[in-house]
Amino acid sequence: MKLTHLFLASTMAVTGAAGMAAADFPSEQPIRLISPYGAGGAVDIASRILSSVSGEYLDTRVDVISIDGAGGQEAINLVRDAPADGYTLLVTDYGPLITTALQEDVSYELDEWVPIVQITEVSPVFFARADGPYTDMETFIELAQADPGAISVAHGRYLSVPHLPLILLEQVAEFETNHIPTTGGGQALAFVLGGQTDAGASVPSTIAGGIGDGSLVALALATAERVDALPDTPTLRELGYDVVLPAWYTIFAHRDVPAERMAILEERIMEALNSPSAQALGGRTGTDVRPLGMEASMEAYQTTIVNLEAILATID
Amino acid sequence: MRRFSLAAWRYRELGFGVLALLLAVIGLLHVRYGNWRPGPGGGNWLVPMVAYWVLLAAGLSILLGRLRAAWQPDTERLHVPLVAVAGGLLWGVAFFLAVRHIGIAVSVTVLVGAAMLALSPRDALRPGLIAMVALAAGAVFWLLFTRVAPILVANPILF
Amino acid sequence: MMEFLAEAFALALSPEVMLFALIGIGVGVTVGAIPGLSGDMAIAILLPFVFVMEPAAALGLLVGIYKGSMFGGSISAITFGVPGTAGAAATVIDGYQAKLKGQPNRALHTALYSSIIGDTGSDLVLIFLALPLAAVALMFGPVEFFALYVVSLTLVAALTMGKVARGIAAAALGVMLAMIGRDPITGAQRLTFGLPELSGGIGLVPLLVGVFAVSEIIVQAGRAWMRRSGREMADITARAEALGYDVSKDRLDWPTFRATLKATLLGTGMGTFIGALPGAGASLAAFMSYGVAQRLSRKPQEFGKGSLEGVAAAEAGNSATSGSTFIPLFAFGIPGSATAALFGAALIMMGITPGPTMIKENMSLIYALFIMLIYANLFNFCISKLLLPVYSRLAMIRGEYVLPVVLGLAILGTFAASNSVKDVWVLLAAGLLGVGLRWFGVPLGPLVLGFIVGPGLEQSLRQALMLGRNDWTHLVQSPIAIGIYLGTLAILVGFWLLTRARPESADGAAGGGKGAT
Repeated sequence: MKLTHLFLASTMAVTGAAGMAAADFPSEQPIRLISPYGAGGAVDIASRILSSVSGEYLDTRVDVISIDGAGGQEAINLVRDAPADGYTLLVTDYGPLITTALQEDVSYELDEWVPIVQITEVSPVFFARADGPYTDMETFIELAQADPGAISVAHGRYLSVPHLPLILLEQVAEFETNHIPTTGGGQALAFVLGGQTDAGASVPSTIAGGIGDGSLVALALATAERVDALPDTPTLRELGYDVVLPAWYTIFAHRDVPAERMAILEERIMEALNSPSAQALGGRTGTDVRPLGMEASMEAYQTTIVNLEAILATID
Repeated sequence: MRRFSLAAWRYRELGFGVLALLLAVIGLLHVRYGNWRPGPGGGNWLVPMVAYWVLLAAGLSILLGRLRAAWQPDTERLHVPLVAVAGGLLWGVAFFLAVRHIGIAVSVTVLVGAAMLALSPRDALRPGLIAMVALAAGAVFWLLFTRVAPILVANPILF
Repeated sequence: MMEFLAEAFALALSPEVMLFALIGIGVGVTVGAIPGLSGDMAIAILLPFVFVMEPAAALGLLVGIYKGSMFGGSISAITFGVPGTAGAAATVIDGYQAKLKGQPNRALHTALYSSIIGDTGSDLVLIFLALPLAAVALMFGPVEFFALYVVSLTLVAALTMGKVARGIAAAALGVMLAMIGRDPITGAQRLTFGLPELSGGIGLVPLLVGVFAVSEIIVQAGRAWMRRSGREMADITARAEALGYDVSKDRLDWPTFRATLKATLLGTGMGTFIGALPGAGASLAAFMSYGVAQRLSRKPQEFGKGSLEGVAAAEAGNSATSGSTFIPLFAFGIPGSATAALFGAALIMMGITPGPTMIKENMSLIYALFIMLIYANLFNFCISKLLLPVYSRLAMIRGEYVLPVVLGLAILGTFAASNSVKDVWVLLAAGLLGVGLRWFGVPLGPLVLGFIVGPGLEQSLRQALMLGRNDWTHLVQSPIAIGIYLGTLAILVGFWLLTRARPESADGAAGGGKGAT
């Protein structure tokens, strides 16, 4: 009995969705937010904040789906191949979307993607052990200049969000370190704490615990302004090095999605993320939920492309 | 009924040794002449190269029979009829395509039922039981993969 | 302190939390037993609920799923030869052979007892020894990890007696398969044969399930096919089927169980330590304890042929990672495994930052979590104990009914794990590879271990070379690494001397070899 009921419900849902007018967007079916990273990461957590308030503001469910195959390309291709109806969106930072596209052949062009809402900005941060010789950025750079390549820095994956600022900083401040790629922030943290490397590069959420108990010290941030999570840490720009390379977690639609649907999504998602409950969840998870609309996030997207092109051109 | 004698087993082992050697040599040639992007820490061909050398050594030691003294000849014989290999793989492909394009409940019931019929002994065929088990499997699969752990399926024709 | 403990007990023992832990275990055992689906996946799906649930209840649910799935993986490993989870890959080797010998109930009970012992031991270490062990774990850098990977491969490749060369070849093949895709240091593509689908490499789930399960299903289907037309002689399962399987004749008695205790304790220690190392994982722990247990066993020649010691070592080994995997997370905020990363995310969603200050700041909740970890083992034991006779009978259902269902589950479970069509083709291709290797008499365990540790092996080797600025002697300058190499050498040499001293006694009475030492 129960089984027939379920069968009926599902067939009704299918036929019902097809028959509805477009005016009902986005309430006809759940929105799928495809992430190129594994569940449990920072992108995942930020997306789930939206997902947990979606019922109220988007009139539908938002399912976060993690597909981390092929360095994120599987997720991007899935969104690209899905019907351009606004129900399948991409949420990512710039790594899989831009860096990979600039490095190798991918199935898409960068201007195929339209940023809908930037959920948050993420600041790359350099850090070291508090009991080591590198307690501020100036000393670190001086020591690195004194013996090029002797200081090792663990930085997450190759050409990832914390690695690119390190490359840029070395060019601007003219020093050289031994870059050690790791599987991500966790391993970079382990290497610094265990003394395997002298310093590390990651994002604030990775080192929050170590900063809290005083075992780590944050050297500098690669953003335009200081961040709430690390109020005492200077930016590189303050220190006189023009290295501003923040990352972002942004929701993208394919450009074939009708413009009016994008506008609806922008409006609803902005409203959802600005809601008190989303802001509260952001505060609880240490995610600085500061949504930017289509125009501002498009600007951030294009600036990032220009910056990355410049850096990657220097290393190949 | 063909029996595999000890000699036949040795033959299989030698065959495997030759395969391993071939693979290792091709791999080493590829490491030497292939197009590898340079990278730090020994390059990204380092570990593949080590693996090929190990494979080469293992293949050689199988062929030369250096370890023969330590061999305890296997007494079990594995006979896999080709029809099972081809049938199993084809069934898998058909099953997956059917689930994606026709729908979970229908494909599972039909294909699982068909496989059960094919594998049942002729003298103990129980079509009624098979139909019941296949239907139950269809229902459970449907629940599992549309409700509990939904899989993304391109719009199926049925369900 | 006392009021914290009282509060923690009140939290952990509230009916709601206990109910969620029970539900979690039920869900966990189920998803763990389904090939392809894993506890990690269930936890990932349930993560959003953490936002809306009571923290203690949410933790109870997640702990339940984790523990349940840990054991659930061994159920399908033993009953159908399908590793339900990656950690259960080593369990397949002997567990499935034991089932073929007509002893599924004994093997399942051994697995359950050793799981629970391993898990509980590991939880106690987490609760009482987290900080000192975490400090030791941090001393493991690339050089030490490389030593650990090399040693595990050596132990396991030389595992199958009389097939050493084939085992080593299989391990090398496994490492090579793991090299397909992106290299872990620069992300450069290699060995993809020009196929963009391979740029992400071969997935662990499809390879594991394909090599072990699909190939076994094909072999069994071949037997059923031949039996169907009456050309195949009755094998052991068929004979068991003909006689009717009787659970009451397949009980695990005390002397048999006691004989597996050494392996269980060995696995518990090994698993607890490897679990505390960030990035090492449950499958490495299971294979390592399996390898060492065989070397130290009185009946090493039974390993691979349905040895209950083998089941106990593998299961204690993988379950013993379940408590200690949280040690780096709690001590430093380092998620050492996929599961730890998910629990870390859940804690972050509750507003708790994993790391050194976490326990101090959330004393009652963390102690409640500790209490849950312990009683969840008890729940897991009771639920599984009730279900085992059912599973044992399930294991003995005739092949023609089971094989299509299990193959279907393997295909859809693999697809559900990643939503990747490619993974299904990899699964079937790995099945073909598995059939081929079985035909050649090549052991599958070393292949799978090579595949599992391949990426870590490469990463640690190349990181070590980079840290040592391309000086290979850097690899043997760490006292810990030297210790690992020497310890293994001692075990291997000792084992070799022992088997030489008593070439025949191994087949005789267990006590026969004692005089030789």
